[in-house]
Amino acid sequence: MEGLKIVVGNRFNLPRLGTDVFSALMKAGVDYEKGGGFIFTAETNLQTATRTIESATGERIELSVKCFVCLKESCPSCPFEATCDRCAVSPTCLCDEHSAAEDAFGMYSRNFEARLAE
Amino acid sequence: MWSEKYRPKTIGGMVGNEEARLKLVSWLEKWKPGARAALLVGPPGTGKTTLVHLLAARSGLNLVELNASDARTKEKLSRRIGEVLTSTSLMGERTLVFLDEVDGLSGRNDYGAVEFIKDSIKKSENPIVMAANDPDADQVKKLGEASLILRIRPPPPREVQLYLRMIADKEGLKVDDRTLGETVTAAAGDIRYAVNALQSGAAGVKDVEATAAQAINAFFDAPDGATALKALRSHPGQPRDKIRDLLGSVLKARLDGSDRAKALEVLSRADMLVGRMTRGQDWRLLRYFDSTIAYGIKGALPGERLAYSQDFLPWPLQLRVWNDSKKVKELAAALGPRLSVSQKGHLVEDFPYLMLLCSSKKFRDELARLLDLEEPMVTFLAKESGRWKA
Repeated sequence: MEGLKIVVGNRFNLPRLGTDVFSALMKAGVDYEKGGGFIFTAETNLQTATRTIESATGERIELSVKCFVCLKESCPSCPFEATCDRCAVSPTCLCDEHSAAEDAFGMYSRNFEARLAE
Repeated sequence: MWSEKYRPKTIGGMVGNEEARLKLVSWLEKWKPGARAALLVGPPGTGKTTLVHLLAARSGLNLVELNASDARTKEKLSRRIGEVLTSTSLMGERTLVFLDEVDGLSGRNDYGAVEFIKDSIKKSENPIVMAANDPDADQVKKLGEASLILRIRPPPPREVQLYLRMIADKEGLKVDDRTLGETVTAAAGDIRYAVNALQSGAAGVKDVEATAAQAINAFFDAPDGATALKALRSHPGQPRDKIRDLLGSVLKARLDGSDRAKALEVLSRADMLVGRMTRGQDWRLLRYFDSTIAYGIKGALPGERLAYSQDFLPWPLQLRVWNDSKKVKELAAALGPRLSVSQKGHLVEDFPYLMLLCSSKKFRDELARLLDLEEPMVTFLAKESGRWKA
């Protein structure tokens, strides 16, 4: 089985998989934009969506999430990479830099409050 | 308890579900009468109730809360929240109406609960937030048509670690990343569990046991309820630990049958109180916990001299029981509705037979396909059914 990497929050393209698969993906909360492609969001049922794509393409999905603070992909170097069920947990996390920083929690909370104020 | 001490005080003090939190706040800020409700969908223990409480506090709104499974029909709902939905205070202040566990509403159309809420959403003078565990429940799908649906999930392990690190730093606790990582992995997204485990680790299991024994012995030696209450409050554990320690002692003691029954009745009431407290996230009930036990036991066993007895399962075995019971509950939640019985009914009536059936691989595979079960659950079924067969 080949691998296909999907980062939650980034657009990606799939080959034509037929209307049934497309409709299953829409039902699972995957967004689609003509010309832009598909995107997994916070509202996507990640388990159903990845399974649908895996069975339609025969490719294994490698799911990855972004850092809430800097929006960099955070999974590849994460110490919990092997044990984290990325289909089940909330789909943003923290990168190495922003989880290990001095007062990381304070930085994270302030960042959240700043986004709230936007 | 650290889980209470470090309970988030603001929405920004939580971890996980960042987008859902941002969207929920934005929904409330833009809300006008007739606008959509918000529906938080996610497994138990992921912070839905906490989020709604913090949302109300942030917005300065009063909060009216109802567990929908306690008022499952239109009539009951209308009686409990009809008025608050259609009115504002004299000063024009709004109230945030929180309907928890809406997947527990009656599914029968003639009871009209779901239609009542959908209708109320259109007419309500106050914003409505609902919460549900099961995204596939019919009630959730119907209510979702009139709501902004927000998925609430367990936070990723790294964010749980961030939270634990913050607590450890504030408590001046020196704990290495490896130990913290093991705690996070064992907690599987359950922050309360992770914080409690961190606190237990910080106290050191040996010390906790010694102090628990002293507290329980002082409790039984106390001449009256007030002294017993003081002793119980000195117990270092959480409410369930206190119940466990007292239960072990009461079971081991040489007591007359009716006295033992009275003492167990008190512990049962205390256990129900803890159940209500955790289910409804109503931690104010905690203040009644120690006194319920202290005055209850002293009233039930006047003059009896009991002693601490650690007559309970060792921790690794308890952990296994805890993990397995989580899976059993998950299974019952998936199967109960399909068999038109409650989750509890399924556990009591059907589960033993299900385990016997599951000893057949063919049946297991078919069940896994039908319920879309994950590999760990299938492995659990295989192991568990093997035990039942034996």
